[in-house]
Amino acid sequence: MENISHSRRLRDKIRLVRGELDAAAETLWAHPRLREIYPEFLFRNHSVIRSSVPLMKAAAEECEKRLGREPIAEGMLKYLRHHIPEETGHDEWVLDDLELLGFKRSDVLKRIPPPSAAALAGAQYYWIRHVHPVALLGFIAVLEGTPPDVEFFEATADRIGVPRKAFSNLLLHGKLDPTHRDDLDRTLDALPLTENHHALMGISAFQTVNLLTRVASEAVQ
Amino acid sequence: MNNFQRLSQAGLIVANASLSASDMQLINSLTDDEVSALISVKGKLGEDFLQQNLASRTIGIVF
Repeated sequence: MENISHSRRLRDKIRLVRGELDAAAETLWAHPRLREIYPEFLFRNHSVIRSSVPLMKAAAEECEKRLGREPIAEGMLKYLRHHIPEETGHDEWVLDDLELLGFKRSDVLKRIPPPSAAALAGAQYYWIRHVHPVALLGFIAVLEGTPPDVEFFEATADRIGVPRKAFSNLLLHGKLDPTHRDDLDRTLDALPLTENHHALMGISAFQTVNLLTRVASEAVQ
Repeated sequence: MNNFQRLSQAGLIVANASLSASDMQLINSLTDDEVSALISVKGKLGEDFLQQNLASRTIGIVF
């Protein structure tokens, strides 16, 4: 495709498929029993987020192996080395929120995560280790592509009678994700991406949207 | 068969969906592998997608 940036090309592909994910989000946040469901959502949220930094570290390792051989490796490695510290500890925010709601950290960590979350992370490990680490940029583009609306989540916390502090993970991401989204877009636009890279990022993004939809939908079942 | 036709045949595009020229171009620019992946994950396009084009705000899911 001509005259379209790398980032716009990926974002347009995500836009094609995220209708179901957004519908799942609306169902969740409008649910009449959201107060009961919210801790389950947080548990699933943690199940996904706990793999984010390890996935980025795996992708960074694969980029290091490609330095000097692939033009994309250096730029992607620079992005990951910058982003890993920024994401480190975000899984702890979710555990903090759950503790405020009365769920002990140790109990949450003992619980087996849902297979859908394992499939989501597992797919990315497969792409990173066996195909190309660029796939992870499709995953990150989905996860950080829709920054939370801070006012909406503050109002939601108030509406269901949950302290705003127990929404800290969402509220903090509301402040950080616009920057993260823009950082990724700048990185994508500067990378020497081939058509193959674009196809893999697209497939990774489609799969991420599908599995995230499943993870989120299961919370209300 | 172009991508739009493949996705329609797979039931991923709602019948009578009316897409903009740029969205048609986007769909037809996908590689065979991307289209196969969409069919595999049953990523539905169509009504929701069209409504999203008109939506002013997406709350989304945050992970």
